[in-house]
Amino acid sequence: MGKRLMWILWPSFLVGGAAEAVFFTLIDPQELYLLGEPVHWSPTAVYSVGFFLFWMIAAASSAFTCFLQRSATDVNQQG
Amino acid sequence: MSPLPDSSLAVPTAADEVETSLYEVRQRIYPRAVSGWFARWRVALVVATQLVFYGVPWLTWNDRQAVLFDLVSRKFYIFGLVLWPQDFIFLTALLIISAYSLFLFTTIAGRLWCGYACPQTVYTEMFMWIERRIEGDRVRRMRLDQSPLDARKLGLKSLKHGVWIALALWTGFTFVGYFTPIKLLAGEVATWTLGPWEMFWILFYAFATYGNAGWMREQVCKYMCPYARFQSVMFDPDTLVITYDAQRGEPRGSRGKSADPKTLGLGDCVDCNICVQVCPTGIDIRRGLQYECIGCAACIDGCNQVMARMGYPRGLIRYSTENAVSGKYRDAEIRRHVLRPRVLVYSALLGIVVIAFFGGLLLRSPLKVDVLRDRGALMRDAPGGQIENVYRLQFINADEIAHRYLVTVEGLPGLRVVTAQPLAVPPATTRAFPVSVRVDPAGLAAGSHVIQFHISDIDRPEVQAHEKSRFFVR
Repeated sequence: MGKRLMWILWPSFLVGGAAEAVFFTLIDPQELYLLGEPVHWSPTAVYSVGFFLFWMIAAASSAFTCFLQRSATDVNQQG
Repeated sequence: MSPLPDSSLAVPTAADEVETSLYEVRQRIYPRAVSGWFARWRVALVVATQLVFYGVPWLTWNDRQAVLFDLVSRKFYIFGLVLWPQDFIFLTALLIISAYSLFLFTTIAGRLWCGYACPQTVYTEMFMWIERRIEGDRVRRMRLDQSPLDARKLGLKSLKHGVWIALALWTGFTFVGYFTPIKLLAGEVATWTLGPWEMFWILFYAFATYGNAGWMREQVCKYMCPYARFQSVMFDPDTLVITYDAQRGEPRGSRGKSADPKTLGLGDCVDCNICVQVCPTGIDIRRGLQYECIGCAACIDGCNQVMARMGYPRGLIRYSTENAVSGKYRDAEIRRHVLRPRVLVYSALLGIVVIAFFGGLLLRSPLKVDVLRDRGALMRDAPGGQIENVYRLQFINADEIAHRYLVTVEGLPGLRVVTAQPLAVPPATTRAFPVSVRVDPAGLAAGSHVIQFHISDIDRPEVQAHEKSRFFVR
């Protein structure tokens, strides 16, 4: 389990960091809209929340990959 | 006596399989302290890189923090240089330079980065130094961990973790100090008024440092580092790697100091296991090149000490190449094999990007202008039957002193700027000005005309910007 968590959280951390850097270099957080209204958070908050969002999205993808990696026998045995 | 491995390169054996399946059940590694030439180099590099890391945020340049990645105002200050989001290309170039340097060094001399400069190595080294100071060397640490919990053990363990946490917090604080002015941050820490996100990121980075250098250690290199996995594509038989000279060392076996190994039928390896004990990733270098080897050369230092004590020549474990160890050429000839196509290609690519990077920086204009047509009106009538168009000129003054600019236009006869000039922009600032342009429409076709804006710096006429736009005539 610990190994699987590492597989999910670590690569997504790296990818999340890269996505954060590229996204916020191209887009000014002040220009973002949240639910139709300009974001009124501090830039630091936008950067931080943005990073965790990217990390979570990448982690979801990694988790899905891990899930699909289970072999036929695993699925048949454990349902 | 153990059997002689037929090649210096690792061939998966049954023992490897067992290790793989035990993967999660980590054998705790107690690296033995080692001294020697390479260990001194590593300490020197740890000190040098950390003086830079902990020290740089405190430097001042032009009355501001010398190196500051100011995310809030979207400007990166690096000594005399101010980078804007528009300068993204330079960051990209910097990344390419780092990547190619890594490729080049790896091809020539293996994992130099891992062994001496990688933050994982550097912080692990610092944390292990603290551990040694508090708990003693290898055997004492193992004994301490096996002993039942008593007051002494509790005291030593709390002291160790306390010092680790303090160092980790200082590291986290320094890291955040690259993004928030560090003197301000220090004030906020002192008065306990840290912002929630600053606090969060200090703790986050501190936790990562503490976890990685205190607990994870070699596991980061073995299971988490992508570089460790693909480094082998940069290796070739002429790459300098840490190698055990099996021909000289085998058959290994213990013997008295005065015994003659030849009469005993032994090689030079006394099978003392020092090379395994000093290894931070816990491998046996005598089994050949393994991906877990971070190239720290601790085993070279350890083995050389033993060889000296035995009165044998040094270098049973040494930096050598696959071809040299297999006898294709002598160790003395390794240098002659450095300049090979792979190295030349990496060097050429690196050279091109480095020249482009510095050339681009030197030629970078400290002035950028964007011309946008006013969104309100297409055109309007001005006194004297003239037609006026209004534009929004967005100036980026990337220089760290204030500048005054003159705007001129051309493209239609008698076209002129009527806005009061010059336009002043404070240091390292973006500022927009409405600029009105008029023309006498007599004889001009109705519709849109291409015009050209010329912007020049009054104090430095060589700094110019040219932008195209459109002028509408009725």
